[in-house]
Amino acid sequence: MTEPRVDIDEPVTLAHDGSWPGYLCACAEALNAPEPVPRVVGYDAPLGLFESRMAVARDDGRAAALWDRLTAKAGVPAMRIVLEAFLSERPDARTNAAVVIRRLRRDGAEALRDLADPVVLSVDKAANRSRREAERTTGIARLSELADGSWYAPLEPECDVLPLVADHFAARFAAMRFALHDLRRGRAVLHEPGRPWLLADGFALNRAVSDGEGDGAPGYIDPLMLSSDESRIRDLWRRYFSATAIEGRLNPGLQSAHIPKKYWRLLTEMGRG
Amino acid sequence: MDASTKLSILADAAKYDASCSSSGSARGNAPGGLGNGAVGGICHSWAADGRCVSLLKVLLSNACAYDCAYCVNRRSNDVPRAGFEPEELVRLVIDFYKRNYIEGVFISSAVLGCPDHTMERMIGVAKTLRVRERWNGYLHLKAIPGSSVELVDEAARWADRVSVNVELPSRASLARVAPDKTPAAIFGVMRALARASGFEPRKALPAAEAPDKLALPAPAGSAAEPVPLYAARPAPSGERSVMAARKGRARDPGSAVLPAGQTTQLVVGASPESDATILTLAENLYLAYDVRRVYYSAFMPAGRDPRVPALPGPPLLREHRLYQADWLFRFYGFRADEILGPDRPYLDADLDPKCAWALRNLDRFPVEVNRADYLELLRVPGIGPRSASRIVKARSKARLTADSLKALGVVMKRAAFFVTCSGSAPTLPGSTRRPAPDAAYARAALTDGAALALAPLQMEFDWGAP
Repeated sequence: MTEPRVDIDEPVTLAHDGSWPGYLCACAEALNAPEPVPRVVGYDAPLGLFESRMAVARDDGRAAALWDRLTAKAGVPAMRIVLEAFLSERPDARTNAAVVIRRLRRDGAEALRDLADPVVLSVDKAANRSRREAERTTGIARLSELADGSWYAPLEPECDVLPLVADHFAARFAAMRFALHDLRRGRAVLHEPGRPWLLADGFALNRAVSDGEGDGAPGYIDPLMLSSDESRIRDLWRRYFSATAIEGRLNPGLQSAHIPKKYWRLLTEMGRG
Repeated sequence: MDASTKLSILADAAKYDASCSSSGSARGNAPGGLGNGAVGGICHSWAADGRCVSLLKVLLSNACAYDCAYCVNRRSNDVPRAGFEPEELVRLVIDFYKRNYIEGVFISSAVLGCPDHTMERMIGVAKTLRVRERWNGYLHLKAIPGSSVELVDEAARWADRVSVNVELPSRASLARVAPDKTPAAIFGVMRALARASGFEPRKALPAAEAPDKLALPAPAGSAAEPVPLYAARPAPSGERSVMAARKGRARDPGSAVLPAGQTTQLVVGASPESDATILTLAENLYLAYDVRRVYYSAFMPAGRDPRVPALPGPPLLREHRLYQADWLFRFYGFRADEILGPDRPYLDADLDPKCAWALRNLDRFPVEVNRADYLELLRVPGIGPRSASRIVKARSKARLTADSLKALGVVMKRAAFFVTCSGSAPTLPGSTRRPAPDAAYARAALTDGAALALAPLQMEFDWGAP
């Protein structure tokens, strides 16, 4: 019987549960680990052949403590970039952001200037991607008025942008009761006038409708749920939208370069509802 | 007439105004109110012509007393006429805004009777939106040339941005094409707007004798003053670029009065002025009135009016190149006389103006990316403000190579002609060749697709023909 071979290069990884606090806890563990620095991966990442993986439990207090320590060292703008990279859901963005967190702790915000380094650059690009997707979402979210006077907007963002856009909508529509529903991730920002917004997992506009089959595509709203004015105003908006294009300069290529077709499904003016 | 038909007519009549931006205002929401400003502006959709839709852009009425040859709403044109009741428009803005269709509204109007009466009607809608509806979204009002200073000031109190259009690039063309508008009427409003947003136009007056000065009628309580109009000559070399001049200007997006300042627009191709004349005028407007944007609108031939040319289509390529040159003013530190001059009155159809400039100034290249300052980097084709600032950041940590430039977002197929990385020239993407900028193929390699995409619609018009 032979001894099991011990490979000193055997990669150790730290797994997090996919939530932001869970991720920060795995990063905290990585910060305390000796060299070589373990990689931070999601629970659901495929296990490598020689990988030895350790699951790190989510502990919101520990996550908050790390966030505060890092923010004190690197400043809010740098930490916002880390959060944006995390939310981008790009392959490797979270693993790379964990490496960047280590450098932020050592060098402060200065570490993010090293854009010639592929890891820092990939985090910077992932953060840009989230930021752009959040900006796009602030423009293309379409709210519908429901019969009870509340408002509902279905979304399908490429990145997990709800935490990045909630403040914007809460300030703008402060007096409205609304839900911004990320259909891909099943989460929603819920806002009531006069209260801070909440992020709710497992949201559905109307369980009875969405549990049944055949009630249309995701984001579909039963016309019975809509306010009496809703369809008239949607028609006016479509009328405006088609009248504002100049016939002599039609340029569908340019249009879909600005707003790729995958987003059209939820846009009132592109035919929805 | 039902609301839907009215909306179609009045949106159709307003769509030739190119101003779409909703940036520059940080107006906050009020307790119990609706909406706020987003400093960077937000695009909400893109129409079939590829232009962004940010504001509900409509006329209050399209029944115009004026007869400007380039304008679809001119008195002599046979189009259906309509007008909003103020209350209808207010309702529309609120309904669209709550659904996040729009960032705000851009209200313009045909001239109803006299300029002041028209302004009063637009101000009425603005006031209702702001006061009764407590609406704080983005409000762009069009000022009518010749309106009184008091009304322009009042418009500035409610709006985030007010604009008055220069329309034509010379006094002679204005007199021929838009006979009801005068330079004094247009520039008088522009001056009032500059003041309302906290910019004193007098300070920007060039000391030298401009050939084309005009004494504007004196506003109450002050002396008449000369204002630069359609200056045929560019600002003297050594004068600061638009970008440099703007750096020193304090702007407050949170200001209650006109936080987003003023813009203007001129029609391209309805009159014989060259690109050089247009760009020189634009530069003067940026410097003298702190205009935030100059929009260039390709003339859309609409109907047969002998005062304007019968073009086969709008000069879109020319408009595109003018916008590119305009970007060079505002974000790249170029001056008009670097881009065009009396010996070179038109922009190159095949090259973007920055490439064209670089090929004329090869003595300034190659630029060493590990040493050159930000402004020098900005002058390199293929490097923009974003990649230039990334280069400056990244090289403080490591020496940059051709590969790192590419990773930082530099367009190497253009930049390769004009840079070195630690002394060596990068190869062109997809080849082992090191490009020499004076090589015969440089011009061909730098040609972009704009002429191909936009030129079929553009034809020469012989201005000398009877």
